[in-house]
Amino acid sequence: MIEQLDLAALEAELKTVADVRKPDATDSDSWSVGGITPSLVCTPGDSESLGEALAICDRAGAAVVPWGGGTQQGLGSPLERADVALVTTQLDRLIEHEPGDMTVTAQAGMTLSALQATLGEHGQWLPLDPPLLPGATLGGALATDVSGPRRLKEGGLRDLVIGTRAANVDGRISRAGGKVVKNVTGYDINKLHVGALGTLGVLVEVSFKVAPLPPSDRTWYCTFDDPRNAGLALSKLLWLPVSFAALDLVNASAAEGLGLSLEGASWALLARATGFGPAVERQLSEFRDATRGRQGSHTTAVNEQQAKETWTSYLEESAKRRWSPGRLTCRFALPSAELGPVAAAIAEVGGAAGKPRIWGHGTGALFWSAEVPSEGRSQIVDRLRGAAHGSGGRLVVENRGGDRGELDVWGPGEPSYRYMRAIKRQYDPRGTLNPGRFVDGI
Amino acid sequence: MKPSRFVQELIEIVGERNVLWDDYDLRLYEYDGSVDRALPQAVVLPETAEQVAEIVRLCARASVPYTARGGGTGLSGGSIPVAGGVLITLVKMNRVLEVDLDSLRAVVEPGLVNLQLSEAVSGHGLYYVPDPSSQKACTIGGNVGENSGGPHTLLYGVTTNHVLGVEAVMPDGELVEFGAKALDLPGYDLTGAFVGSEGTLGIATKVTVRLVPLPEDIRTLLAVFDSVEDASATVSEVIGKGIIPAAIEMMDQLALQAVEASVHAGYPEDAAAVLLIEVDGLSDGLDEQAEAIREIADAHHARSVRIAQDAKERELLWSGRKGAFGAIGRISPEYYVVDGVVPRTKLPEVLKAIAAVGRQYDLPIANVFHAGDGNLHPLVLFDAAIPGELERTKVAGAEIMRICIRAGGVLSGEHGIGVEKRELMGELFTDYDMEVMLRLKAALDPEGLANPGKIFPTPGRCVEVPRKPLAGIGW
Repeated sequence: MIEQLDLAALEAELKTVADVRKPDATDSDSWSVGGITPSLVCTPGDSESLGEALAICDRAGAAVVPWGGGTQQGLGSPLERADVALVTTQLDRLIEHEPGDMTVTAQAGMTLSALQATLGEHGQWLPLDPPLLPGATLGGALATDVSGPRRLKEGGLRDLVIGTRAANVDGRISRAGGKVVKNVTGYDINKLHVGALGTLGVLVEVSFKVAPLPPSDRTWYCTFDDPRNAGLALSKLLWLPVSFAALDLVNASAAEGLGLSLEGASWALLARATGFGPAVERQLSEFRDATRGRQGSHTTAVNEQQAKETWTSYLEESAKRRWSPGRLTCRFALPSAELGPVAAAIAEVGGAAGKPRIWGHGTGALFWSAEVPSEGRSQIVDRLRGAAHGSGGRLVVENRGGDRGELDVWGPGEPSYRYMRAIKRQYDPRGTLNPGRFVDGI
Repeated sequence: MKPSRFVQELIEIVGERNVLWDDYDLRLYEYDGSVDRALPQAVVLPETAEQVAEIVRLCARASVPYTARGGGTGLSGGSIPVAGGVLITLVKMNRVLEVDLDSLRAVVEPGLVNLQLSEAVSGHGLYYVPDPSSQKACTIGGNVGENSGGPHTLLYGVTTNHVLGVEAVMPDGELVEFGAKALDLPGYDLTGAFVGSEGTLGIATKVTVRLVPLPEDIRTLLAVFDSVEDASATVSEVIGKGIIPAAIEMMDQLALQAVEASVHAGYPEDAAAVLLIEVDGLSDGLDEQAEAIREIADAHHARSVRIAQDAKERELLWSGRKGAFGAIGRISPEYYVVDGVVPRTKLPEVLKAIAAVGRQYDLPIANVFHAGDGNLHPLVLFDAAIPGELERTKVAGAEIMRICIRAGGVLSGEHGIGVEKRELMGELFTDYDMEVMLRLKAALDPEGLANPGKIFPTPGRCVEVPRKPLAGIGW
């Protein structure tokens, strides 16, 4: 396996099936994956040639980095090798959208924003509001299992994906799931690809459930001095038969630039309600009652135009913090009741180095982000991870901020990882896809 | 008769009272809710996860296949031990281990009956959403195996959307946890891959589920139509208008007549179809939603639309739907429930094609199904005492499946493939698609002892799977 890769031969062979070039001085940075730049950029024109290109790389022993919009290539541990960026952006067609079925099928290289624009013309959307930079593709979103505040009501990608077609390392395309919303027909291979960082295959086509755009959409927020009280209000609201579209906890730093006035308070709980008018109004009163009972000081309604901007800039800012150089950004996966206590426990971590921005969703996803000099990072990650594990959760480092490898991105091993390795061996025996990037060295 | 050495080893693990091995007892376990049957060579009823692990390790050492079973209500033969071996029945592991009211999760054992979970948390204003019609008898472990659905999964999703973690005994005999109360742990979503794998990747011994607040209020409507097309068009338009009801159930004329003969739910027997539609949530605006649905139904020539005025009337309207299968049982000696899914907009043409199948094979077919998500349940009425009728029924069922496939649908929405439809898998998926699925099986169960003979076509396509005496075990 350690044989020297014959790049020239590989390039020549790839050229028989796809467009191939070397990153040049002008754009080599944009192809960097944690400091490693693939030698070749291969852009197939259709699914079949993408499969062939993948098989060529696999036979040659070349490491492949599946590449959609390239907006989240900072995720994961540093790659062991990166020879070919396999780009899906030519696979950008909408395959099928039957509004009456509320399902859609598109090629994996289609951007999320293009899909939303198409669905929007029919009063529908893929109910997903992830913190992604422009250019992010459907395949990339699925491979990174990215979600946002509205997962609370609408579900995440594991709930929304109903079918996939994937190129396997042997070059062939396989299908799983279907185009219907309810399905128990064979193994749910779709779910294996969600969040797998492209380590099992390269998605070429995806089918989703979609949702109607809600007729009414309102936002309020309430300020808190102690995030634990905000967390209690959040738990209370989740327990009521009131299905909020989003309940987000943000600290004052994370609230900056969102057009909210915290009036000196350190935290805010944002609530978004979508649906039919009367129910949405009722949700406001439930929010007011629950926050008042938990030492929330001000409940403020955000007017509709402003609310739209607030959520848009919130997601844009989250996306930037996830990827801006020099920042350390970590994602906690927590039981929802732990959001408040963990937010309180980590509010001062890294305080001296730079004010952390902390934001979290009612689903139990919580983010901590700060500019931290490289020498202090490992200890900070350890402290944050300690808080996560102490609450029955886990922590993943999303933005290593230029670190080249001393940070433990995924955390300690788990007994289940050996089954994951067994799965990886079946789907990618030579370790061609994103080697070393996933948990446990997968 | 003395127990064999293998049975003695099982007895050492779980105690004498938890092993069944004589012919009379085994015969009680040769069938489930489907039409297939096969005898196990032993039945064990473990009481702990550690016992399950020891049983699986014993089977692995002796190369004996094993099949997990819950309430035995499955409709595709998922718990039928087609290759013989040990049937591991999990009904004694039926405790609610934890209710986490703060994070809205419950941790339960696999043998817990579905409805008992909802009953255990209803005092806290919560419930467990997936509600298969067999919910009084089926178990959470079985629901995990088959990714069960139910009438109320249109808005809230099926089992896979509500199971967030699993502790399982893997085919290597190890007890391992996937997932948790929290979402999105690092690593592959093995919980997601495990749900709906029909017991072929391991045996769940603990399940972490999502609990959901009970709706504050409910409106139930019964809309009566003179044509199936109008009923179907109503379904599409309700959803197209952005109203996603908690349930939309359809019943056709034959089903209505059977129901009225037994349940007296007040359904008109001369109608072509009725829709039972339920919206739930906050009481605010619910009447407006029900009214909007009534208008849509009226626009599609509904003969009448009735909105239940109280809980009693709601129950009456549902009693017809819930008693439908039983009612069919009164008008026909036997019936075969087919489970298929098609895109919602294809319902009218698919229902027409199914009716044609009934005429072609001279078998009455009633339809009672989840119209909102396109999940059909044609009930083929037959009498096994008439020579050739069971065979004809199975052929008609396969024909209905092909209609679903041609309409862009799939082979099962909530019953699974099991034994019943494994030979049809090749008509929906290519050999290569299935080879890729089986890589997952090869990774987790390389010896192939976990519930063999399910989901995937058998090489050579033999109808009767011979029960080979297993060498060296001495049953």
